[in-house]
Amino acid sequence: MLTRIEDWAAWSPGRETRDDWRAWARTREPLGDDGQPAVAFLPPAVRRRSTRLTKMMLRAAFDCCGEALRSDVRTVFASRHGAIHVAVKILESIVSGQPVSPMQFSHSVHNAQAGLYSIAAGNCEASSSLAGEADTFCSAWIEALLHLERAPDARVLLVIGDEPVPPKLSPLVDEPSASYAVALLLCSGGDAGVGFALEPGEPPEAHAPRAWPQALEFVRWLCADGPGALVLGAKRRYVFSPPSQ
Amino acid sequence: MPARLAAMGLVNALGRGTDAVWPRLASGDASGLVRRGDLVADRSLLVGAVASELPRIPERLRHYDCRNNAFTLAALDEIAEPVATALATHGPERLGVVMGTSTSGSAECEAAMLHEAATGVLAPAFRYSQLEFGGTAGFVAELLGLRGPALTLSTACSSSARALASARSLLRLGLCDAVIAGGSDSLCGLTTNGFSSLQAVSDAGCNPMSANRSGLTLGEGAAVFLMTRENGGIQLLGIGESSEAHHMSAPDPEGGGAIASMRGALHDAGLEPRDVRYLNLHGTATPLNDAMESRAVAAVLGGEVPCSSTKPLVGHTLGAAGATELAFCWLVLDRREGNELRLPPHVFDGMRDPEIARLRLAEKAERIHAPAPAALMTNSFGFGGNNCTLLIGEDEPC
Repeated sequence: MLTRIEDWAAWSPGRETRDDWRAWARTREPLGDDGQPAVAFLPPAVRRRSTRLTKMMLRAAFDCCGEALRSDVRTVFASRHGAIHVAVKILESIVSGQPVSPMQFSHSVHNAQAGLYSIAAGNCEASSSLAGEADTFCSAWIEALLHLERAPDARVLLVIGDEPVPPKLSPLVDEPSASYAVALLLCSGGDAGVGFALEPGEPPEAHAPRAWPQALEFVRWLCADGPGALVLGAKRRYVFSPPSQ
Repeated sequence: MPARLAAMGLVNALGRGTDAVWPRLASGDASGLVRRGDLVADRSLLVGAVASELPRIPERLRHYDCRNNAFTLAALDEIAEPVATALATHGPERLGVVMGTSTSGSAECEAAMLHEAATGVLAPAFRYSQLEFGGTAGFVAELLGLRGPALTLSTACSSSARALASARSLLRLGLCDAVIAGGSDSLCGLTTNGFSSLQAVSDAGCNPMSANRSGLTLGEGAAVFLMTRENGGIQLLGIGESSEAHHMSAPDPEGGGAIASMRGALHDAGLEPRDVRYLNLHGTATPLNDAMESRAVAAVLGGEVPCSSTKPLVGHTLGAAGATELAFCWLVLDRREGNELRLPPHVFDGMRDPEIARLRLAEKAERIHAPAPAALMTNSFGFGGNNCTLLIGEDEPC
């Protein structure tokens, strides 16, 4: 089960280009939390309705997937926390007896980014949105493989992003927070590409909490071009093996 | 490759368990809907609330304790035996779980925030894993000790239809030998106030395909399947999926996305429109959905296939709707009477909307002549323009 990564892009405050990420992969400096990406490429109606998380994820998606392919790819949008900021605002309205904004509610769904991508890119293909607790990136990789099972000749645009949860919830979240988005353009690799296996055994993060979101560990591994496998997982043991030629 | 829906369990406003649900489903009993004044301020809302007693979440899983997961647990209880057999046969590494939800534990987060408003701190017992979407599948995996993939899909009202699609692909890819797949959603302030703010909730109760329809009725519940790679029994035959590229909270009025989704499922199953013996409509009773869906159904299946929306019986269970309505189709096949199938009736005020495409709506106590193997279809269309159509049917005799 080999998967070719045709292209990738990532965004975090102050880090936008692949060179930025290659530099980060060497130095592993802390990521910034302030600022949001420029999204002039989005149609005004989509831009107006975009939260910061949406802007980050759509920026990575559009950087990764060129115009010729944007309307043709299947999409997998993943986020552990999703539109939690919108949901908490709505709950605050309810708790304080204020009316709920219909616009906020429409954008509180977990597939808000997928829906807005579909509109912005004119994409009518199959799309899923998911979450997988602390293993959200690995879950998204699996969901992308499942799309390639259903459509072996398709390309799948995997987009993952998160940002720190609202302050009242942050003491309850068990992994380091960061504002980031990563996009990977994937296709079936035939006999070449990144290998993937769900192995029995101890999850590597069970006793050693990770320093970075899983998706950024994956980016670091991609940048390193190293020969070794990447083992991720808080609840399972997910093993990515380097692209074979 | 076969994808057998080997066992099914469910809970919703019609009751807990297949034996409680089936007679009320088949007779079109809408008495499970109740009025609730505690969900939306200054409004009494007709909802499909679950009245059945629910199992307690075990103490060791307290971090997953929420009404949503209690529904899942109630549904899983009904298939505990075949699930235990699958676990013993294949081992926990080879069993996965895919769940769909749109609410997860939003109600418990709201309660924790009410506590905060009163005391200044969130309710101390509240855990993030009660709230986060991923906890819906995480709960099942931890409950049963599954070590295979655990995915939670959340694409609004198509969430749990998509869960079935992913489950079949897990089997076909060889990542699992059996998968628990379904969905769970619970009534909460977020969805009831949200849909009310969109003026999408009917005061009188949902009235699909009627000239008098005025919006949806919300509901709650769960349905779960054990899917295996065996032949025989009832099989998931086809999956269709599409996006709309149209609007976040309204479908394309031309029905293009719905048409693509239904045609995709037929193509995937290798079936012709005439092979479909019954369609469970998305049928939310919003003016737009029913106009769009009837147009799409007429275009793909023609006007002669018996259809019904079962949302007047259980409400719109949102993230659980796809699995729940597939479960209703599963029951129609499972409770076959010789060459006849009993269909869930289309319950409404009988005042068809002359402005929308005319569908053949299933009557009360309707039985159709449909010798095995028969194929049935169900539609799920979600916010963000996310569509999924599933086809199930009996296996061909060997």
